[in-house]
Amino acid sequence: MRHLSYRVTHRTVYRYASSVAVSHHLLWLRPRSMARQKCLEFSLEVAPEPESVAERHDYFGNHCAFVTVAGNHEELAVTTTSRVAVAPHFAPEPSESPAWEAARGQALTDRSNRGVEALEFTYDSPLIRANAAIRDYTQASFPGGRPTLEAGLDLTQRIFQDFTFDPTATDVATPLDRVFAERRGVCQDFAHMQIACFRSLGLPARYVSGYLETDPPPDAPKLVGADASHAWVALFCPGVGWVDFDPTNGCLPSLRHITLGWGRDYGDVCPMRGVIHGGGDHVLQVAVDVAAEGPVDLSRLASTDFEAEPLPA
Amino acid sequence: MPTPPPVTAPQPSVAGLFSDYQAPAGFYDEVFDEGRRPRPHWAELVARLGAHGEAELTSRWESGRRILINHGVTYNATEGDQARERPWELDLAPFVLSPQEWDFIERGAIQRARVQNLILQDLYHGPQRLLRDGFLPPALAYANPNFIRSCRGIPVPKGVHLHLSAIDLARGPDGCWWALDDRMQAPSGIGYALENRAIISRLLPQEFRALQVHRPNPFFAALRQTLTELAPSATMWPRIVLLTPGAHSPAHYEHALLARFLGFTLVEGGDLTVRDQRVLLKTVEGLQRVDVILRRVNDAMCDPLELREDSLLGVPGLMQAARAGNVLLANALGSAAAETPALLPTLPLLCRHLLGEDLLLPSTETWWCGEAAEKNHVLNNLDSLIIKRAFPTRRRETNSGSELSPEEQDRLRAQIQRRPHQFVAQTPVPLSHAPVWSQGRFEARPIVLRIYVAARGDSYVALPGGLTKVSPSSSNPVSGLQFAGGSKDTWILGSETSYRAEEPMRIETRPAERMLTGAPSRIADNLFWLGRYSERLEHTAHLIRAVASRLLDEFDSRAVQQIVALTRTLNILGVCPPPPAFFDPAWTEKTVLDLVYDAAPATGFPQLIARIQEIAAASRDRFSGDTWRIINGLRGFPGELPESLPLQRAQNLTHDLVASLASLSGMEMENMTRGVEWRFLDFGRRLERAHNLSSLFQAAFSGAAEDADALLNPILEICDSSMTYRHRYFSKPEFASVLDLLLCDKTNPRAVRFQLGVMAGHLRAFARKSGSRDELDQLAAISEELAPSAVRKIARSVGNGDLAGPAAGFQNLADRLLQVSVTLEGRYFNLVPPRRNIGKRLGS
Repeated sequence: MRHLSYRVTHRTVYRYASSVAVSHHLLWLRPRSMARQKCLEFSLEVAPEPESVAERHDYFGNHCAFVTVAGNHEELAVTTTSRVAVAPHFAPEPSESPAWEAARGQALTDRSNRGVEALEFTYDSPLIRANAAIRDYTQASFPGGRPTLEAGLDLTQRIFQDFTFDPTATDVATPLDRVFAERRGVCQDFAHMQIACFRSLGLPARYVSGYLETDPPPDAPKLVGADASHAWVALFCPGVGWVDFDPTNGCLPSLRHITLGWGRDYGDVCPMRGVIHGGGDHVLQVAVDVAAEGPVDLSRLASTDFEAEPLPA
Repeated sequence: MPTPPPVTAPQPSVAGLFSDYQAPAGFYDEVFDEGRRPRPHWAELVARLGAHGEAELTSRWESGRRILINHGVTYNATEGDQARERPWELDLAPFVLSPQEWDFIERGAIQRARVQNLILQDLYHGPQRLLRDGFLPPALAYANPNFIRSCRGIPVPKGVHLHLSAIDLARGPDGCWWALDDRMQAPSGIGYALENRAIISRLLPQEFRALQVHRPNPFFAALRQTLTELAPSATMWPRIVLLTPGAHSPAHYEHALLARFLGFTLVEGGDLTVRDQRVLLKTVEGLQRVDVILRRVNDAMCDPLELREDSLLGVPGLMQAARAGNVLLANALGSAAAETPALLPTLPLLCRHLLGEDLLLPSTETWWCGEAAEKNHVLNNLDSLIIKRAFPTRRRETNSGSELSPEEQDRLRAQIQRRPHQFVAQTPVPLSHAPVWSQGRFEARPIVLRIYVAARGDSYVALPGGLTKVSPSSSNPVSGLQFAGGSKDTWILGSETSYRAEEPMRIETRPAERMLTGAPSRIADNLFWLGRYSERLEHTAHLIRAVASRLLDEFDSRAVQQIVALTRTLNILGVCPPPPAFFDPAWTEKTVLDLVYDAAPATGFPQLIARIQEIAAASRDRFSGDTWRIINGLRGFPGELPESLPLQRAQNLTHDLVASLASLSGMEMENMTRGVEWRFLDFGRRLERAHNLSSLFQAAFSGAAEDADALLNPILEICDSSMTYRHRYFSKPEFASVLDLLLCDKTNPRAVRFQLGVMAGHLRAFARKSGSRDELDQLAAISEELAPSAVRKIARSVGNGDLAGPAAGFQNLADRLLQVSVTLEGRYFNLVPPRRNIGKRLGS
């Protein structure tokens, strides 16, 4: 299988107005390895030197790191560097996928590991509550018997067209109802929106956190750090598995989307969050750089660490 | 011929006391059978209560209430949006169970806890077989906000998720017990059960002995033993803390009581911090390791890093410490997942599957709307059902279908249709009735029995009897509705076959060298401020009394001059508004009354008293019963502004207040262990006294020279040193000797230097632990300025009419004393600054 290799650098800097005595952080910043993505290298640097770093797999199998920084500090810098190989997404022709009603039916009855796992993503989650208005909006894309992926792609493009990208319209705490009413937001709002749509019909849908390689403006050199954290969605389709959709760009993700992890919503896989003691106000700077390195032949590399590790017992 | 008395009548006293007592038709009567004969296990108690007669029972009941008030036994009830502290309601008559019946309830409660523990094990540690094999509907976990995914994988020593668990039981009309509700994250009430027992066994001592009532001690010993054995570090004496949401939580009284009874440290979330994946307690001696947390904080509030961000009650990093195996949480986080009533219909099947036994205690009939057939039954029978949320989070919403209007019913039906798995419905159980002493007789009231079990080995032990909750009125007779507070002691009667040999409560005395002395910093902080505020209140009382007594006397020109000088001084001290240019008795009287009765000024009695109450309540577990009674007694002050003779009454009230405060400080000196906590309390008091005196002199010298002269007598009075002065100097007060007595006399417990000496002693003791001498150095510098030669110099200045120099000197002294306070607070109290959450959102 031909993979494309990327080097991703993600640097987050908090500058505090006054000294922070202790801070604890959770990081979901290490790309997951899975069938069509391999994390080849990963490093995490925290400055100042952290008192403890504990890595684990979370409930959904994502990598999560707990970090404590003790001792007064006015600035915290977290830098991760990853090399990730991404393979193309082999989804069937959307028009040939099973009817969406079948997808819902299977989620409700399948008690295999896969089925139970999918079922978990059909319920409301802390940040996503479907309602009748959202269901009505969704139904326009889901007439009876329409193939699941075709309907899903149609919904993706409708959200892309109906919603305006506007970083000033929302913040972390903006409820979904307002995003829906004002039709504005950023990638995580649109991802939440589409998940709510899918779940309003009883379809399993999850939130995917990751990066997107972006093009520089025409005739301009690509700027380091201009990329960003990104978020999109995945829908469970029987016989196919999880298929990604990117409502922010109105497309099916392929070689330019790099997955960090997934959960029910942003709250499960927020790239970085923390609690600080002291500190006052803070200024935040984030720089993400996704640099393509070219094709890579995975058969020449050792295969350790490629497969998704099992959940802790 | 007179009618002969009827021979078959019951004993007249019994008939009298119980004449109005009768459970309504359709409800089980706990005491009497259908023929109005006492049931066998009630017979003796009914006869004995009857033999006491009404007057005796009333007097005992009243003394019970007095004990409750004196002990300050309270719970904070929520009324509307307001939380109010109310006295705990305890009925005189215990609730009685026969040993046979108790044996059944105990086995049933233990069995239930074992099943629930296994369910939690499977959800959080096992392969979630129950979900995959169809024993548990997946929505019960996946749609359940109390199923905490990040708990999966956290080690749970010996598989014990539930260290302490509770169920509410109700007896239906047929005499059978039904389980209404399970409480698994932080069940409350065992402390109140303990208090109930302590009081009722004192009020009815003969009955208690004669009926061989089972004692609670083995249960508490088991709970402590289990927590000790499951502690992560292999120490004989793990540090166990009881985590309370704080002084405002409804059951704070019992948290303090339990902590004292079990020998655990009572802490709030802010007292704990996580370092290196370990939980540490902030103490005045630095950070100390915590091994076990018995929590009264709900799951979701325990860790603002991983759980609810807005929680002010939790400890950031706590889950990671548990995940690393460095602290035991009891109960294990995530336990609330099994509290869902949606589990009840499945419980008999799960019991069979997991234990191979039939479920002993049936649950009240429950339908979970997540199944289509059940949902339809509920939608068609709303009138006869109680509708609840399947996954209660903060509030437990309950609707009785029959009490809803047709419109409300339709709304509810629509809600159920929209999210069926979020709802359950239950058949109400008509609650059995028991006698409650009310206005000289017994009346029948509905009761619910709360049973507690604690983990021991691979099973559980039950608290004999538990807590009987009593409905506040005889209405409200069905299950599922919240009770507001009434309770009974619960007596399991002994019998030859079932009376268990008393296992004495082992008082686990720690070897002295293992004693964990570290007082939580918050407690030391509180006690320091309690010392400061009670001294400030006493000083204010003396200031007010000095003005009031002169106003009440026949005042001559000398008194007028003193009053004017005093009010000017009070104004400079910031205690009252500026006085008018000329003496105005009406203004002065109003100023005094405002300070005594008005809640507005920060410097008046009401606010100072409220502050003291608040601080004391937050460290309630540190006070003896007697001390608490005095603090509790301040509650009565100052009351309403009286209409007649207000000034006279204000004066009397001030005398009483001074006496109360004197008994409080006497209690501190004579009854408190001289540990680090006492030192902080006393340090606060001394610092405040020294500061008050410096400010008083500063204010006295800031006005005119004749004011300063007029103030000499009042100052001696305010400083409680008039007697000493007369004894020592046999003369009219003059500056040199007054300053000598109140500033440098090391033998006068009111003098500034005396305070400095005592403070230095405390600081030396603190320095032995902390190794820091900064405050001692600050204090030594202050002390030098109060050497006799320096004070003589001040007196000479005053004698020469130069007041500005001394005034500035006293200002400087007051400022430097406050500086000592700031240094001390920074070193011992503020170990970790307040916290906030930071998160970021995505950029694209």
